[in-house]
Amino acid sequence: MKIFRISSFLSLGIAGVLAGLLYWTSQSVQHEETILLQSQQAISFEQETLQVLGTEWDYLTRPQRLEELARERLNMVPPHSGEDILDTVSELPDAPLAETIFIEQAQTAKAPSVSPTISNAERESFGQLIDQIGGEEVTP
Amino acid sequence: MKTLSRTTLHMTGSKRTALDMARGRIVLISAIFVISFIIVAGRALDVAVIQGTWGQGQETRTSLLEHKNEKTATVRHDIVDRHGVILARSLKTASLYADPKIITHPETVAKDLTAIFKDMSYGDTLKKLQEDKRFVWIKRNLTPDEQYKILYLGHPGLSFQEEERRVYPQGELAAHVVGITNVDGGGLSGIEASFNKYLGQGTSPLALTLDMRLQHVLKREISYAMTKHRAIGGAGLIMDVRNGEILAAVSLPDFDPNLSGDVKDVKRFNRLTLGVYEPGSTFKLFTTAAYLEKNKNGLGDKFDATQPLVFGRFKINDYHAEDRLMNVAEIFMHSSNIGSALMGHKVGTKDFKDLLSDLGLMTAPDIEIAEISAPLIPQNWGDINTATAAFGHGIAVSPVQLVSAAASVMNGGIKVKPTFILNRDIENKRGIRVVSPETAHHIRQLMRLVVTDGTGSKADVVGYHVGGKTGTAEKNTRGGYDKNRLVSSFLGVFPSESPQYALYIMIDEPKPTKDTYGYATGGWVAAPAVRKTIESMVAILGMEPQEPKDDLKGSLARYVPPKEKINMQKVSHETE
Repeated sequence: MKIFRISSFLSLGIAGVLAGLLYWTSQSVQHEETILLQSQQAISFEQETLQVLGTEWDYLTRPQRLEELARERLNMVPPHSGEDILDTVSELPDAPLAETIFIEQAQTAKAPSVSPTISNAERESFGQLIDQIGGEEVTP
Repeated sequence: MKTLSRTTLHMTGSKRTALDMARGRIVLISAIFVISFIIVAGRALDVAVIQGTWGQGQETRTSLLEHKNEKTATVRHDIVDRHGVILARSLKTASLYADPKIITHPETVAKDLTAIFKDMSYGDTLKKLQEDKRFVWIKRNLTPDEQYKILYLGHPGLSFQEEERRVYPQGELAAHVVGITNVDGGGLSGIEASFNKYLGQGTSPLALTLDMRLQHVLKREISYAMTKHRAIGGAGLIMDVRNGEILAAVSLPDFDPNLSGDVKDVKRFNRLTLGVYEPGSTFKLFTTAAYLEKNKNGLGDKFDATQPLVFGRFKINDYHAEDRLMNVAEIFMHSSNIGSALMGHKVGTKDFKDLLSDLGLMTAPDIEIAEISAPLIPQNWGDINTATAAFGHGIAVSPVQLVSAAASVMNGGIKVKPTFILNRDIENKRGIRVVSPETAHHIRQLMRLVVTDGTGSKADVVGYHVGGKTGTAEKNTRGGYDKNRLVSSFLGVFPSESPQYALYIMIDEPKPTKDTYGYATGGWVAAPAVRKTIESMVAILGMEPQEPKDDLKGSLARYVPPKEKINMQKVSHETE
């Protein structure tokens, strides 16, 4: 019996290569699986965080809390009693003082000038542009 | 020589074979050793370099897999309102336990623990830590801050177990409907109890029909009325009359389900479904409906309300006495007990009971909540019972039943089943007719008339045609009815022309105030609360105001004579 035949070495070599491939595949799978598990864990962690944040959001936006804040900070109250509902537009209350002043200023102030103001630098660059295209600049 | 040489050859051959075998064995053993060393070296390389370097700073697969298996444990589902606002949610918390066998200095540990948890006593904690066990609960459902402090102590033998804690972000707002769970996550009351199995195994959150914005508005107005009239309790309901969906359900006093451990039973009592009350005049709605069903053109039929009605030893009087002949529209508008009793009598006991039964007022309501009560009805129902039930006495029903029955009349006559669960109106879509559309229309007209010209004027909202019926019932005590202990209510509907919402507010034992000129009736106590609720409600729901020409009451004007004419009639009646 001849042990050291070429076919034996060949078989051994193939087995070795296959073992290596198998090992590499298994390592790759394990590696990918680890990444997958990590991603899943990260997702579930984020989901848990979202659950807590969602609960906190609904806690902070409780209607009674929003109403209290609107009353304290914005001077807003629920629309109560018949007087709050107007029949005609003329019954609308006067605008608040600050707005009235603004409106008065707007009415009395001079209208802003609409004539175009062109800086010298702009005029120069515009002149250059006209030169390049071989036209003539028209002075207003 | 030949022989020798042959022998020598033979000997040489045997020697070679033995040598070959020995060499072969050595090679084989060497090969095994070499392969083994290669395997060991390979594994060493794998562990030290491949996994060690690539997996640096990452958790091992084993721990990740363990974590994944933990995740599969079922989480109790959320309960949300119709817009997805969270009413109940289970959040992961850490619970602290100890292994007394590992704890070396129980005194120090107990001292440190009681410094963190102020509600725990040193003695009890020490006793727990000295027990002859391997597992003792120290405190369940810690806050993240508490958990951090325990970890910072670093005592061996103290460990955490992940648990769920039911959190109710809306607090008291819908406590009676949503209900509570025990420490192990089992439902104890409300939807938590009746949908315990679904919440434990279901696939999606459980959406209720409630709208937290309307719930808040209703609660605010009931609380205000209760405080103003120093009442002992209150309840209210907003229902979509088209499909029986309950948009708001309030029962006061209420409780915070997050701190449900030491809540008094009186606060846990759900007045809407568990409480039964004599409804008072709101019940006249059904008497009138029964009468109009039997007498199609009966709105103008007159009844004599000048004399109290005597049934055996009972005497029926009017609260808002008009002391004259009144037609059906006027009886409803002025809430005449005598007139209603006469109407009930004319309808007949059987037909009246049949209608109440069709409206679901004779049996316990069918609603998705554990706490329900059957109505209290007379055991031997005779004519006297028909007469008293005609104006809402001698029969006690739960508010949810009353509103569902009223909604069934107001929506055009199709029976609706009250529901707390969103998209569950399949049964209501089929609909069973309980009263004719004509009767339903007349009832809506009459309810509008009550608000424009009758006892419910304080419920009127400019631009929105509110209809309604006031109700004031004296409480039945052992010695009979007590005039000072009232249940004042208002049952409203809007818009009257094509109703969408039914509103009911009930105040338990209101006291009169100076503002109400000594009255504590439904028209003075509950009607203003209904008005304020509707004012906020139309703003929240963005409902457009209606045209005055659509107002229903106009068509009934011929049945309701002006006051001057009534006075003239009275004078001529007296001179006769």
